[in-house]
Amino acid sequence: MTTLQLRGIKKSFGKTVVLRGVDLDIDGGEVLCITGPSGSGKSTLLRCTNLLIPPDAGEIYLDSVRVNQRSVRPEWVRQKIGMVFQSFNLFTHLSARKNVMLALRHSRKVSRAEAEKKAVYELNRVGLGDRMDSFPAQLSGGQQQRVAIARALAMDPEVMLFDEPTSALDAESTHEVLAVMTRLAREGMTMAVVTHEIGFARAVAHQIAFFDNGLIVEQGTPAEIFEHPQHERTRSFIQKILR
Amino acid sequence: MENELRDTDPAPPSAGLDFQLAPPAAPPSQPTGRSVGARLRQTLWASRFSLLFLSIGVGIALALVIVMGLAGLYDLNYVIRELPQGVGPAETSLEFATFSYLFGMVGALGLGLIRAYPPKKSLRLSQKMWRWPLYGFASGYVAAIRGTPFLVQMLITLNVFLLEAPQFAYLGWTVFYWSGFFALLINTTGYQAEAFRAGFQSVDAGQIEAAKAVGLGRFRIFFLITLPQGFRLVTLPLANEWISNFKTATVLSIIGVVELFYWTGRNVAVFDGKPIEAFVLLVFFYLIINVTLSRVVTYIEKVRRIPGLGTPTSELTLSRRIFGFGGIR
Repeated sequence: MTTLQLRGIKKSFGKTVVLRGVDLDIDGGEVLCITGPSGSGKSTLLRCTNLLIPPDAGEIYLDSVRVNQRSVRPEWVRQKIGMVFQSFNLFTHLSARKNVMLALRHSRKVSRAEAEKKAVYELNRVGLGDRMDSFPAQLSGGQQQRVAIARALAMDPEVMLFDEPTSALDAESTHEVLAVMTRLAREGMTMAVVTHEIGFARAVAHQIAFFDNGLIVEQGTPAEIFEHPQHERTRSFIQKILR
Repeated sequence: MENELRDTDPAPPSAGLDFQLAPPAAPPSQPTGRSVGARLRQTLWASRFSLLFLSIGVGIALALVIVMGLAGLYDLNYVIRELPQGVGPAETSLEFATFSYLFGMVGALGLGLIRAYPPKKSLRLSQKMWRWPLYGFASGYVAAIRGTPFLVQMLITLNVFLLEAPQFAYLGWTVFYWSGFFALLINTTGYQAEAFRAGFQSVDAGQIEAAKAVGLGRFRIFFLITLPQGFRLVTLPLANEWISNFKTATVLSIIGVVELFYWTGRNVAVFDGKPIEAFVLLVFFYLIINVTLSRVVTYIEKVRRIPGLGTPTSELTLSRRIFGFGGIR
């Protein structure tokens, strides 16, 4: 089981300091939910993790291999860490099936037939076996997000990052996507999920991290965070999102 | 609600471990995966009225011209007799426009790519050393082409060939043809580069981010994502550039390239002294070629269209129905 460790991650954009030295551990097979007010740097943290945004300082370890150093290609890291975006970001010019196949064919160099088999398998896994030849614009938000999950899963990632996967979706689509994520978690996928879905976090997460102003304010099991938050900031935020 | 915070039951009923997938959705409303032929037939059928109007419009215009000829405003017999003579010059025009356009596209792709991503301030010095000069050259080239008349560009090219490059002397009199072709190529490259720049820049940043996130390198991202999407976004501006290039080729007549306009000029001045007839002939060739092409491009755009990428082509403006172009899209 792969573990992900972040040590002292710092990032600023110009004069705006977004991350002020974040330490985070995700054990293999564990689901970590990150929550907190918007603008607190949660998305930036995820993007730093797979080096979409290179951190200014700090270390990222994947299975105790440091990945943010010159000798490691970011493409290699990103093949091991899958990511799902808030706005889906499916390739608009490709069908669902080809969206899933693209990275397999061109960054893992899998043959067309094998990539196709894998794509069919992954799309069936997220319940979209009947929409494989649809273009993204012909799919609902929930379906698009499930294709995006299948696309990330096809690379057999060791860790999955979810950046507010359901915040652009209506209630029904949210439910579809959370169903897929729940099953993934039960299958033992290591996941870091930025989310405000308290129901999902309670039911699925092993750890919850409360994030504010570029730092982890509090971290613990769902029971600890939701039932007995220690910090005043956590308490007021939890009360607001539970209302 | 605060009571719920301390509630010992952890899972609200709507969002527990009992997530179930919804049953499969209804089949797609817009059928996909059909052959290009089928989609072409569908498009043609859908635009049957548009085609009808176009034929009626062209028919009326032709009828008017013919009536004017019959009424003795100009010599209709002359026009009909001379029409076949224009095929050769029309071919020359087409060849000059098309080949310079295609060869120019190669350079324009590069220039457009360079200009689409201006070097950032945060680059390392070793990167800045070559990125800035490259960007400066591309921008200067485009500015020079767009900022000067084609006539001037052509004459400069010709004189460079004639005076500064004696190794081209073996070309003999065809040096006029070659320098004309080259000038056209240089010109269309600048305009196409701008079209490509716009296309690459309008590819959504999220697409690039997603491609990075699945582990693609930047060359693959360009060839698999940016290029196919950008190309679709600029199909129409690129087709317009061909038409524009075709019309610009009239200027080549000045240095003696026997294309459509040269042929007309000779008809007007030298042989028959029938200017109206000569221009009727000229306009006939230009319209036939350009209207046909713009219809073909409209069909290509519709048939190859991917839902959700680029503006949907509306066929509702009156001008579009009749002529195949114009009107607000």
